[in-house]
Amino acid sequence: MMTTDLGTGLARRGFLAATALLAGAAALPRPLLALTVPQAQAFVGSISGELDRLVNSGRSGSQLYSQFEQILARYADMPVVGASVLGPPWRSATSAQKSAFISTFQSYLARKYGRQFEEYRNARIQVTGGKDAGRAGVLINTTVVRPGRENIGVDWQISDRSGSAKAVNLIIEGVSLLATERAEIGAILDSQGGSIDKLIAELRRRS
Amino acid sequence: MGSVKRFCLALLAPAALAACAASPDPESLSFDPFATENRATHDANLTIDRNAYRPAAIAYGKGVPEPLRRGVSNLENTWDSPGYVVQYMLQGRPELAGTAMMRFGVNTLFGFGGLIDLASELGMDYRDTNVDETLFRWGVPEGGYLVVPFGGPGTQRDWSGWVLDYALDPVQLFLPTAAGTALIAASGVDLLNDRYELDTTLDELFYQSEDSYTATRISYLQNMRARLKGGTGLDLLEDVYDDY
Repeated sequence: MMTTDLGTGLARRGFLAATALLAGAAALPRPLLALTVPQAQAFVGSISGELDRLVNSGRSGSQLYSQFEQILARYADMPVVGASVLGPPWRSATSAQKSAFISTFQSYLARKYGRQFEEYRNARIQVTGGKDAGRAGVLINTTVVRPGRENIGVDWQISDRSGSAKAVNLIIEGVSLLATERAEIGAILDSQGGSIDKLIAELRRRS
Repeated sequence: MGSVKRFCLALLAPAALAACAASPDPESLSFDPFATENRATHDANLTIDRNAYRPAAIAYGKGVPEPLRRGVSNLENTWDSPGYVVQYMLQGRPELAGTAMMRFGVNTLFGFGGLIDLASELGMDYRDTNVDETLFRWGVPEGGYLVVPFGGPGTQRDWSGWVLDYALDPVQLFLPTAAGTALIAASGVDLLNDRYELDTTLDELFYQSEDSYTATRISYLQNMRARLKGGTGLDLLEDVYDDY
């Protein structure tokens, strides 16, 4: 069990540890690359550290969202998340549509979840546990402790199937981001008559 | 976020509900036998939220200092504890029943009747429960998702249990009526705090989503199931790399 007190050097040490482990692992043949629970915990610790620096940096609004988007792009496997959220229409999309969708979806997510994230000032993220979920990756449990408010349970699904550790889902108080966004993106796609180009335009308008 | 559920209890006209119908696939997020009626009720509830509940909650949250709001929450949580003791015993969980009983004793005797949550400081963590959890533990299926006028999201099992929550609450049974009514009033006021603290999340679900009914429904169901099962089940994780 590891506790990340945001703002202390712990997170950075975690990040260094994760980098060292991943660098070491990269030299080995592919099957040995399987992500361990401690590695995934260190990975989540380093995301937490970055998020903490950002939320306490004094930035707000679109400045904060764009920094948040950079963290998202670096630590999450956005093409895989986007494909999974879009579902079957992904397969029939052209490669130009795919890349336009991923980049607008990423900005839309950054804005939507950035708004919630802005409320986490002075919060601490504590890594409380983790479990190996086989091919689905590793599930890391964290608790967001906010002064004077109820704690929030946030679980991170981390996978290294892309070749390096990446977040592929966030589960906030039991609510899966993939499930929520699949419903939401599906509803927007329906309202745009099933057109992926119109969906992209609508997401751009919202982000 | 048990509060999303507690939001449901707002204002409240109790409705006696039919016993749970057997659900064909209790784990499916697409199972929604009352969708048509639910959508109409959901829209009506949003009108109430927009015009009454949310404005009152924002006024309460901004007007009343945090320690006072916290005191009302503590009072409610403490006086709900005897009801938790009953439910934990029915669930066959004596250790949780013991903690709930200790919390009640410590907070009423040494925490100004429950205004201060001294028990949490002493390591006795707050954990709420209700008849819905008891029914879940007994293997009763959740039934269909059910939106109740003035009440909000729930399931057939949850709303049936809600009626029993009051009927089986020792505080309501044994305390003088005036004290019982005062506690119900306090829990009503505390609902404003829940709505206030969750404003960003609920605003997103209710007013920013393309399909706010579906967004609310799948959030409610996933949150409720994770709470009852004690966390995210590994079986729910998707293998995103195998799909595409």
